[in-house]
Amino acid sequence: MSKKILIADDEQNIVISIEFLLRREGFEVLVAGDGEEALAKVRAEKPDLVLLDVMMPKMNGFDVCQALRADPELSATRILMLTAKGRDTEVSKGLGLGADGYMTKPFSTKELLAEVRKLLET
Amino acid sequence: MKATRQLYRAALLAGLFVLAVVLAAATLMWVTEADGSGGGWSAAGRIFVLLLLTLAGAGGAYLVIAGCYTRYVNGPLRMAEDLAAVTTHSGLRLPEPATPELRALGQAANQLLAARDALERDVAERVREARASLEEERSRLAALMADLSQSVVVCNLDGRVLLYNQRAKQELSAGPDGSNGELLGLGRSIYTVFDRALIEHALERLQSASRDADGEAGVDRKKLLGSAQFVTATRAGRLLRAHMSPVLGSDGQPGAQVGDLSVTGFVLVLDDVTSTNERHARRDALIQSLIEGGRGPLGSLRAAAEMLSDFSDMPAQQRDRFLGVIRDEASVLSTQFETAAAAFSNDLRERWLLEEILGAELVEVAARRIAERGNAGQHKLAVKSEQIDEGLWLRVDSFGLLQALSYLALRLQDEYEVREVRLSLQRSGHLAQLDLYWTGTFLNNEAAMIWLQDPMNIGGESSPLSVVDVIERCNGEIWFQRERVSHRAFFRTMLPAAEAPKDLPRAIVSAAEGERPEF
Repeated sequence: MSKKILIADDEQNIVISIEFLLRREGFEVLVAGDGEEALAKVRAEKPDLVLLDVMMPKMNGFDVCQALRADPELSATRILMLTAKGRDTEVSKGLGLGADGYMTKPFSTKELLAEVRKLLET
Repeated sequence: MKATRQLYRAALLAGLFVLAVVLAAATLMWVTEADGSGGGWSAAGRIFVLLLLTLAGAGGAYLVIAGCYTRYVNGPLRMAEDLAAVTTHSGLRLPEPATPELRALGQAANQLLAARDALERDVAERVREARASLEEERSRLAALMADLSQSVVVCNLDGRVLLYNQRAKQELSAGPDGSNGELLGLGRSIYTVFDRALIEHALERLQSASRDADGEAGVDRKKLLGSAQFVTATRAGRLLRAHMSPVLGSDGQPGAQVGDLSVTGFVLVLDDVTSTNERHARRDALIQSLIEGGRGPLGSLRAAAEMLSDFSDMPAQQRDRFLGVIRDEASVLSTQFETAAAAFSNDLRERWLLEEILGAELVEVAARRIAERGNAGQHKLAVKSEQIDEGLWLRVDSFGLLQALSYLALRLQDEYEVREVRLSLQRSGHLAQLDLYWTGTFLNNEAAMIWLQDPMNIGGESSPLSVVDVIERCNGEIWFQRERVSHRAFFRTMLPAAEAPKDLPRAIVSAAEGERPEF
């Protein structure tokens, strides 16, 4: 059974590439365009991994991360944060709030894939 | 020796006088003694003659004593009166005494008077020279201060203005509409111009940094002089960077001793950094927009390009989608660049200068401040600090950060009746992790988020800034977190760690050490 991955990002142009890449690699891919939708889809679909953008409408990625970690049923979900904000303090905040990984845009799709595989194996 | 001889002579004369009287009396008794013929003087006659002789002796003795009294008692008394009169005025001398004994005393007194006059002239000359020197230094200082492009204000510890230059008067008295409010003046309070809490915070830092450093490693001189910096705005909206240095004297408050001296006041040197700041802010805004605004489009561009190159077998329709992404993002990047370039001259973002502060010092001051304010209420608030990295320096807006920590701790006390909070400061890579934590009391994420975003209000003093504003100003991040296992909750602040400043503290050169102070 293929692993399920949710892409939570309001930037359609990056979603197109990541979705295409992950489907080609055999993953089942879901997409959410804002924080609230992301949280709802995680609760409904229980994905194995969430690629979570920080800057999203309605609810930002930090809040979504915190909400997921606060819910015991969802706490096993892997979270990889993707952000255009690359300051060390923000990376630290993401990891402090419970994210399993953090990648700053622009990133290499090969590195993204490697990180996704690593998180799904652990 | 001479006095002893005179004493012997006087004793001899007194003896001769008594002998003469006795001899005269004996002779009289012998000559007038009654014989058998019934001749001689009668008893009454002899008594009369003896009485006469006694009177004559008493008269002679009186004359001698009166002479001695005039010579040895009245003479010194008159001399004492003369001395009292001449000592009140310079240049006067005692008249020559009549007796040789007092003449020597008078000469000695006149020599003393002459020596005193010479000393007075010497002191007057020194005072004149000192005044002239002081006047010269004042003129130099006045010329220097007048030519300074910075504003200089000297105050005592109560904030009373003791000295200022014209530049300070122009800058600090100007109102928002350009009017001159005459706020700055000798004897007036600096707190009419600056926020009292801001100055007191800087003064507190200054006093704690100015100390004796005897025995401290790496310090050449035994006395250290601290300084503090802060940034504030004038009523006219100009942004000033203030550098505060202590004034040392011998009558300062206890607790800020530097050797034998203590801090009696402070000097504020104010730099108008409005235009510099505007320039930096514009540059920062441009860099920020290019970095953060560019990351997203660049990410999409890179991903699309990599998809096209890595999966060349993709269907034409998919290829067109990726090409569309590349066109879109290239266009977005171009627009962003143009916008950033156009906004360069308009984007005047508020910017605050940060200062280096030893993290342990910041935590100590924060703990003291929270405890002071926390203990004013009905329920006491204990503050403990632990796991403090003593060598960690921060580059922050320390005043704002202290306000933020106090605000959060006091709100925990007020709304959740927390009795104890703890502060810890540790290094985390090249960041500093500052935690304000407590145990037991439940605080939910939503409330914590509101606390962080509300304008701060500490003991009735409100600030337009929120905790998040302050932390962002320090280039940091703050969040609330709970540890279920340990029942601990904390506000964690990640701040950039700083290098220890190389120019602080500096050694002083003070007149008290025998060196000439330099302006």
